[in-house]
Amino acid sequence: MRKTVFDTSVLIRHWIHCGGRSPKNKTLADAESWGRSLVEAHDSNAVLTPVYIEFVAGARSTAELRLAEAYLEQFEIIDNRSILKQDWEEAERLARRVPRSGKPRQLVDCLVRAIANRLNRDVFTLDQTFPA
Amino acid sequence: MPRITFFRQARVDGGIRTGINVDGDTVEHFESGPDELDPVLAWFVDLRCDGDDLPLNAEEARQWFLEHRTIITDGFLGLSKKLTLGMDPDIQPVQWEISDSPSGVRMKTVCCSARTAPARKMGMIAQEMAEHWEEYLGQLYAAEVP
Repeated sequence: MRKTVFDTSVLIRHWIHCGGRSPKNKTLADAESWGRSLVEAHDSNAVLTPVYIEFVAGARSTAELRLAEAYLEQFEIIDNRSILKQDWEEAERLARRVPRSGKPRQLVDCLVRAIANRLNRDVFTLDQTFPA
Repeated sequence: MPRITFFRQARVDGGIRTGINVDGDTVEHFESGPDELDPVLAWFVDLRCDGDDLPLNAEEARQWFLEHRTIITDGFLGLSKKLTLGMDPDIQPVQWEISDSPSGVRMKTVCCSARTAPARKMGMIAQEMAEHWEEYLGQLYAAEVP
């Protein structure tokens, strides 16, 4: 597997591509196959705890939550659900850097970048404002 | 079925990873970029091979890739021609089979970029894969498991 972690933006885009914005009449097997297809296409199955939680938090019903969990089962949470003090400190440092655009920084983006740097992983994201 | 993958991927800070993965075991070489550390992935290009008679470790795979350099570099040049105008940024990688793969082996080139600027240059990146194939493999001589 390549040393890449998926950002939430990628998972959401892929999820919508596979099941639509409101995946009705879909099975857990469908959701599992969607997750496997992304892993296979990218030769990567890594996500981070903040991404897992952010994705789960997008579910709008119990049924959709079950599908999201089945989708996410195909990925490995490579930080072992352990966010360190140094990750929070680095995330805060990133959050304090005001870009020229003045756009607000997002907590999850700052945290993902901090953890990815610690674990020496590259981040596959669609977010053009991912904190630099 | 055994699988070996040669990968090269770049970050927006200019850092580049080059590596070989043999059934889950990876060796890689990392060149830091000139810019401040930024882990966002700009693009990746893979050569993925499936087959029963593939090498079983990274060094054997590196030698195998050298032995089949002509087929492989032709494959990357073919990819380059298909992507002369670049590609659209997307999360779905583009995949092309290499038609004259060695007997019993299925080879394909795979590339992806979710960023507009590198996606537009993907043809040039594929051409560089062909032109520098042996150099990139040389970076992996005695490379360490990360």
